[in-house]
Amino acid sequence: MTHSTETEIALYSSRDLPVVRQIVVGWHVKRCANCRARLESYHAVRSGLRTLESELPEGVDWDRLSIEMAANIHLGLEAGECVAEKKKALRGFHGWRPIAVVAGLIALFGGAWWVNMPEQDTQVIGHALANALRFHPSLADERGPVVETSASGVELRMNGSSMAVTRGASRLVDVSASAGGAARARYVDDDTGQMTIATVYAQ
Amino acid sequence: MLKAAAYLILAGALATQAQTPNYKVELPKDSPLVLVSDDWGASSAAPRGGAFVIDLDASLSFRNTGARRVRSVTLSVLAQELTPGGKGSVAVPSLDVIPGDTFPVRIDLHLLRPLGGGGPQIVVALDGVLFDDLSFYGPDKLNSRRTMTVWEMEARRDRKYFKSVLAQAGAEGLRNEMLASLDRQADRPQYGVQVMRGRSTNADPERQVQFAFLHLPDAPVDPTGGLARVAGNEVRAPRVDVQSRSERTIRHLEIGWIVEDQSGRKFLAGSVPADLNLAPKGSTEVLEDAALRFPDVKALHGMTGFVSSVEFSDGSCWIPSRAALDDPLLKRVASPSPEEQRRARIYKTKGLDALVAELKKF
Repeated sequence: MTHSTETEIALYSSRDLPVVRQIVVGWHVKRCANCRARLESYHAVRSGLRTLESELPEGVDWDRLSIEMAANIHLGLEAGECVAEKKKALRGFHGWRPIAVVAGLIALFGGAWWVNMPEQDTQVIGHALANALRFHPSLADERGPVVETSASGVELRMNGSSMAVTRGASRLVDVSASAGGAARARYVDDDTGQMTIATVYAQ
Repeated sequence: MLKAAAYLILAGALATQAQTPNYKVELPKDSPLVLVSDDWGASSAAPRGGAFVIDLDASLSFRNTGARRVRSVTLSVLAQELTPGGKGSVAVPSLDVIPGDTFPVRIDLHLLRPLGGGGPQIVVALDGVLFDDLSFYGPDKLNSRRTMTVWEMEARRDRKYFKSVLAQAGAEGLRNEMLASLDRQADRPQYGVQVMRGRSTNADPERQVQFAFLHLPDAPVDPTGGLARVAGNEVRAPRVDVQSRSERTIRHLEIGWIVEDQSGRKFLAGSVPADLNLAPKGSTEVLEDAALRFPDVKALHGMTGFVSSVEFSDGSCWIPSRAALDDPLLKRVASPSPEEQRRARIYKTKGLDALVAELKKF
């Protein structure tokens, strides 16, 4: 036979157990002399308290006392948590070692990214993040080919990745786009005066 | 032990980086150009994700083995033929290469080629050569004949103009002309443009905006009406009605597309090309299933179109005259010809004497 715990007996005596548990403990107490004896002792204590209560001075506001006590208990608990958190924080971040570990991890992650991650993928992720942060409405528009002109030249992008870019050791003097799906960049070589026109095509 | 492992990992990582791509320069057997030398310099290819990233930094040298002077050359540069991306071209206009002479072509491109199907491979092929009599040689897969003919006609028009300035107003007059050109180029409003074919990308509500037109007096085609759908900073599906004034059949035309932003600034957005078969004095509608978006612009308010070039069925072309380009709006927003930009750059970097000497070459 598994006996009820001390807490259950105490709560049972004051009828503070949940309904189901109250029935289970009551059933057990009726059949167990040991637990019944413990229950009787709790009843005795409760009746003693009632006697003391009748001897307290009149005019005590029990509701107010209850609220004040509860507030004091909460205050004490919160103060305790604050102190415990501070101690923990100081213990966790004390000294140069954790900083070195974090810096090392960042360097390792950055290095691994630089060595292994394609520049195009980095661009895609950056692009997606930038769009997400701006809540850009055209997030899904990068699925097809896009030709783009900018102050640095012309570019063909596909699914956000750069597929073709014009570059030039020469000076960029003009960029233009065609609704037919091509973009051109004009470069002039300052030494020879020769113009080179680079074009990228979406089709 | 740990250090050795780190070195091993680093060496492995570096080994996966740069590779030397295979380069191939393809010229037809009867080509009027032969490859004299090819220097691929610091060109490299590196596997990234599912593709090779190919950085081309090359200088090719060709000899004109034909009997005519070469005016322009276009080379296609392919990393992959069938899918978008990895396709570009390099053209050199305003040349004057006499038979037997050599000339360089620089290629500076960054291309992508999917992994598989062999290593990184670049094929540079001749797409076309334009001669001084405007005759053409080449497969013309990139429509380089038309493009180079327009550039050459613009170059001739502008050279003639600058020569007349030199003759009438002397070197000082030419200097003033170059300074004015440099000022215009510096002040010309230019915004980044994104072109997407066959789809719209903007969730903003759209409205139809009518084109206004600049009617160039000597143009063989006159735009009579048109509209496009505008949503926020994006304009799409331009549709323009055109009426031919010519006695000849027209097979291609390009319409310059000027847009106006929310603050009234007008700038050249791009061009609308159209392949057509427009009978003499006939009319037709030009449609383009494309969207143009301007990331630096909040909203678009108006549009203006003008005919920027026309190709007739015999391969000859029409371009606007210098007088037509004196229209205040065109002067402010239209792109100068490659020849004018080249000459202005020569004046800026080498001075007036070099410009005059260059002008006298042709």
